[in-house]
Amino acid sequence: MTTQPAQIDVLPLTPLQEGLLFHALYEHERNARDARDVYLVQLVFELDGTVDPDRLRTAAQALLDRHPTLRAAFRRRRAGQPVQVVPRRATLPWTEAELTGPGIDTEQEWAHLLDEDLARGFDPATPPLIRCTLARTGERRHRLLLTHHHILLDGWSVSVLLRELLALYEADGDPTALPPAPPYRTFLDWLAARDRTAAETAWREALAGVTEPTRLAPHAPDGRGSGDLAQARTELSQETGTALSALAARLGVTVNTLVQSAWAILLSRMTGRDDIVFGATVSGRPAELPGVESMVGLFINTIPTRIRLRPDEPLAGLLRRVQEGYVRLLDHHHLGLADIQRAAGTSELFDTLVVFENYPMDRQQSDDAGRMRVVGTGGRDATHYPVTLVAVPGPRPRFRLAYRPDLFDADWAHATLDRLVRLLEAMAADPDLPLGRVALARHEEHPGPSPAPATRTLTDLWAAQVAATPDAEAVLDGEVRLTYRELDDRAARLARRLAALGAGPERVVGIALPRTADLVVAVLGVLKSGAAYLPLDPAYPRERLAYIVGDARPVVVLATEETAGVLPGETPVFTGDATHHQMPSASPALSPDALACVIYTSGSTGRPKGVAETHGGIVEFVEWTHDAFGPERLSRVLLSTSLNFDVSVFEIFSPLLCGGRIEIVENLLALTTSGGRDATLVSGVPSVMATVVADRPAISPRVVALGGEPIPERLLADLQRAFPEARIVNFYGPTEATIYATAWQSDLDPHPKNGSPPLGGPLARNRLRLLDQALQPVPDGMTGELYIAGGGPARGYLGRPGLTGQRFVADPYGGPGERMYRTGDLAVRDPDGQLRFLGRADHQVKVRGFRVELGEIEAELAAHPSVTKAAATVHEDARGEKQLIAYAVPAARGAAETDVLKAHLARHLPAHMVPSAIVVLDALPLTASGKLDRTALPAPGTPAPARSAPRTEREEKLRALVADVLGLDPARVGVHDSFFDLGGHSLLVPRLTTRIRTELAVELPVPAVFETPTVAALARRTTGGPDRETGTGGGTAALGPLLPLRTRGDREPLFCLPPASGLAWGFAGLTRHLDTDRPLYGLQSRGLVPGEKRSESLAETVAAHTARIREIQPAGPYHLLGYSMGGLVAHAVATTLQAAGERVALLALLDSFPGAWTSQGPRPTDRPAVLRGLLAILGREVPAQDDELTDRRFAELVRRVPDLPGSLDDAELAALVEVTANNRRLLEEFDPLPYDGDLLLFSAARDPDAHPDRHTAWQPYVRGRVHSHDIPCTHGEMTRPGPLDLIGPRLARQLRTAAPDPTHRRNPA
Amino acid sequence: MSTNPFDDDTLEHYVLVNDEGQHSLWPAFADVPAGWTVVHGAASRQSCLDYVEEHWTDMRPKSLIRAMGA
Repeated sequence: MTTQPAQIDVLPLTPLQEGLLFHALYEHERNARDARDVYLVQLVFELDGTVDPDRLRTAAQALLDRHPTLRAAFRRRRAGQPVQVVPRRATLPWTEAELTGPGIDTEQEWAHLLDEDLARGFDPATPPLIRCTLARTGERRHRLLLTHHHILLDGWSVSVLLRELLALYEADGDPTALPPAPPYRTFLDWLAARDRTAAETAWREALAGVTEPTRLAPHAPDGRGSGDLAQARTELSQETGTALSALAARLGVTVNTLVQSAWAILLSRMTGRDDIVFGATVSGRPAELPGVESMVGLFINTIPTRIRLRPDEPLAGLLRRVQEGYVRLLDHHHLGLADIQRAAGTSELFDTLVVFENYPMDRQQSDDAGRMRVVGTGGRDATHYPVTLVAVPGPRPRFRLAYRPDLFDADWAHATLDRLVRLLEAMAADPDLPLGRVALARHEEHPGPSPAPATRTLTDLWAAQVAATPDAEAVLDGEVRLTYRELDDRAARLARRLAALGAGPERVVGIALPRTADLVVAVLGVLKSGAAYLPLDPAYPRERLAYIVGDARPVVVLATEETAGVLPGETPVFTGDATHHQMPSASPALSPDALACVIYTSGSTGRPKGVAETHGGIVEFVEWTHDAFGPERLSRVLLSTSLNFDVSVFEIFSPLLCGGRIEIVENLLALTTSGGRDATLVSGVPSVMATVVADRPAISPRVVALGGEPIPERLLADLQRAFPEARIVNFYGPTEATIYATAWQSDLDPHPKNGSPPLGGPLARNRLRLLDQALQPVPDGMTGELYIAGGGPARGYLGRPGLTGQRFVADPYGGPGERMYRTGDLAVRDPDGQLRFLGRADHQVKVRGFRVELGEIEAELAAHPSVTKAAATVHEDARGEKQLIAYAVPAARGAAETDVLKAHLARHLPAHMVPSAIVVLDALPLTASGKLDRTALPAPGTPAPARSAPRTEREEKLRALVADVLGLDPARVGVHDSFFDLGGHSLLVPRLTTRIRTELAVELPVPAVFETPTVAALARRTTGGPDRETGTGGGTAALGPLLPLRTRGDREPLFCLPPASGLAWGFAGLTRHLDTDRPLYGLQSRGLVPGEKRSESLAETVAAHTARIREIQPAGPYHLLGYSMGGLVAHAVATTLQAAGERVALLALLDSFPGAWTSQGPRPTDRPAVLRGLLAILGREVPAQDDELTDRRFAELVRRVPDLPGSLDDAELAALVEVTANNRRLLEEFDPLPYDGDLLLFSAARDPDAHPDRHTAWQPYVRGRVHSHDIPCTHGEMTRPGPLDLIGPRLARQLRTAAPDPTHRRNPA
Repeated sequence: MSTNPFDDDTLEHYVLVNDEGQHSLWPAFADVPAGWTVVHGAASRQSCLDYVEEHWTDMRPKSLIRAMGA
């Protein structure tokens, strides 16, 4: 056998191939032992008939000979760019296995074979990345396993290969049996000719306004490498298939569009969003390329599909729109997903993928009896997304849902496919149906036996109870005790007096009384007069009480001399003691529909609103409590809740209308301060109850009734331990649904295994509806908004018909003319049928059980004359406690004083609505659509980033450009924010300067951005103004000895020492990975500025850098990072600092080694070698060794890339070469002393010259440990964005732990 | 999150009224529930809210008004 000199082709990679390669290498480095490359694809062909293994092998080998792609390996050039290397010939690895025989479990052996094959993996650098295994599984039965790396080919190519394999098999492997294969290379050429900028612009526009990813699995950890996916399958009926094809033809859309639209609807309903994104694979085969359909290679691409849905749009309209969107982007399908995401300014867009298998896969490849036939295909998916929908078109379209079994279960998958089928059937049946009328779930009412509506009023029931138990104790208030008869007697006298003052049915009487027995007398007295009571808790701020009095206009307010003072002057007040003078009178006859009380709650528009509760609604609730708890459990109840909240209605009437006694306490905390109390039922909010139970009060209640906020799992356990005899009740329901609408009872309902208790079932005549944004019932397991229908909804908001008409709305699932209340609460129905509360659809929050509309706080704050804009949000502090935080934008700088604003709010809002902190901001963060971005509001206590607004037109324009280049909303860019802090890296700088040149017609050198990276400073520079921001006049700072990459921040800076080039620019990309209060400085070699003196010795270099570092940071702990030669210098600086008695907290090195390595580089005198080394470190193409490298050619190669080095002039380039050569010389002087501490080392593991002993080389010079990390890149790539994405976070973590004392503050420079 | 249809200014709405004279905003894309009559729209959400403010002046249910008048 003769060996020919290997002839090879070297080709570039497609964007997807680059991505796959990076992931493959990264996974490999990260976890070499358990490495399971998810992009390894196993395809299985089930073969029937006689198979001639040798002939099949010859045919398969002929495939490799035909298609260079199949022989490709993947390597990196010295300078770092990956290439595919295609040898002239490669032998297909071929294995044969016998899986039949006595005692052999064929399927088990087969599974074992698959696992072993998988574990074998591929080394991307060793061709071919494809192999075959032929296994005999039975009499005349074989399986052909085709294993390949996804980087080689896509599914379409597989069908081409299979077709060719069979043809070649038929032809005994004769390659001439097939026409020559169209070369993949023509596609690579086509790809290289695309207009990348146009594609980026198109994608940026298509994804404008997408601020967060659409996630079906919101809490999924990184999906890569997480093992096998589970699958569910379904198929459509022939009728539906035919109807869909006809529909597609009629509308001029593809079946793919139908599938994508159906998935979009499903995703929208499942996530509750009307603007969704999912991934779609596209064939990537440009129609204009001749023979493209029979090319073999990796063409497919994953692109985002963004669809906005409107409930009023007909399905046909949606389908056309989706098709148009697809066509509009067709020319830009080639852009890699990472580039699309970068263009869109997001790091993640979706977690679901739709694959439409539109390539021809012949089912009957050969049907001659007795000959080899392919009867089935299978394999494992190469995808890392949590959910992938695969659609296979045909007369009966088939669907496969591949999902991660750790995130979803089989029931979910089958239900999801069922819904998809239903959606497609709905499309086929009536494409004119508005989207909002398409139902995902069928409405299933489970009406239990429903009690009849209330026929009696509270006063009817009270009268009956007084008659039944006149001498029983009704109220206990300290020493005061009232029997039912005494209480009724007093109430009746008061009622008579009130009637004389104008009280009567549908009239309102205010109650502003302290918490004494008289409060209960007042409530009953008002009701007996026929009027409704209006709680006016005297503890409320004067202004708020004034608003409520003005809004509800009570005919009279019951008050004491003291409490009358907090009411507005013109309020009709009754402070007398009516009970001794008045003769009782009969109550007027009332309807159950009559108004019983008006309870004010927080209003989103800044105005509290009064909920009008009826007698009937309250009676139905009270009677339910009688049935559910019984008179015994209600015999001694604490009245602990303020009359202002409707829970007090429960605490008063449930016991009093069944013979029980209420004891008045100031609040629930009374239980912790005084001795034992005799209480059968205590009620309150969970957060207060948590405090109570922690104090082990001497009570033994039979019922602990909680509502107002979810019960934490731990509290539930604490309560059950503290009160083993008690039933714990989780009530849910807004005031508008009359006290409570649902109840979960610990001893009656299934005990939740973990988490908070569920909301429980509807109580009394309430009905619950869980609806989506189209008002359709949501299927179990999906989030919906909760509506309360049936008996619970109150009459509405007093005097607010418009507000009532939009919250109390027609019930499409109830009896004729019935209404439902829209709660704004989000919930999900679990498989066990239990409802769980998930949060709010709007900005209402609960703080310590109090319902708070953030809008009301915002409106009140903005009403202050010194404030122009305001926002409010809830932050959880370190202990998990919720705090209200408000944000104010002052009318003029310095005008808003937080103390003044807080006092203003305290005057207008009840204490529970006054924020614990007010933060003054220059501007409020806004989303792309201009709405307040609550998630971007800074946490209190952390320094508010100064998002200063532009002050001039130039600043405005520059800000827009910076934001655009970074893919940010301009509102997120303050004029004093550094480009690098905002996420910019060095590769984006030229993009910015180009945009500035083309759009502002201003020539801005690339280094200027490094020197003055803020909008304000760039504006000054481009308008010729003085540059105050850095104090330099501009010009040479980018080549000067100190490169301030970030000067802001209180922590000790990170100092970065440069590689032999002397340039520290590459470290700019680190900025975004470090904490925002960590300054970052690059140090550069002297001599980069032409004419400047170069350093004469390594000792001089070390001394100069050390001095400069100490100028900026006079005392330790110091943090040092060095790259290549800079690593040696950093080591020397560190030992110098330690010798001076200073502490060095971090020493980190990027691909830098002592010993022989220092002389491994080019000889300083070998100029072409120095130039080559410099080209590599600058990330340029390095010409082959035998190519002559002149200075001119060097300059040309450097300037081919429009980045920072590419912008240097001839003199500067010459200086750069001199500095590099000089540094090479200094390098050899390195004579390290031992460093006292740990060393953090990042090595370039993919470098062809990777140091063989890289993990141990430093150990002799380090007294601590060497923490070594391999980064899959070459030496010259260490400070590129990809590697920095791996290095940066580790550095940031290390920095945080290296000097954990946050109180340390560096001295000002 | 998507906007609840009752809050969505970009959708057309109706004003519905039931036998008790109670008014309800209603998105025009959805079927009108039984027992309700369209009295205004399809029109902008604001127009519908203005209609409700103007026409629903007595928020007591009609049966209560009748009972109290008797």
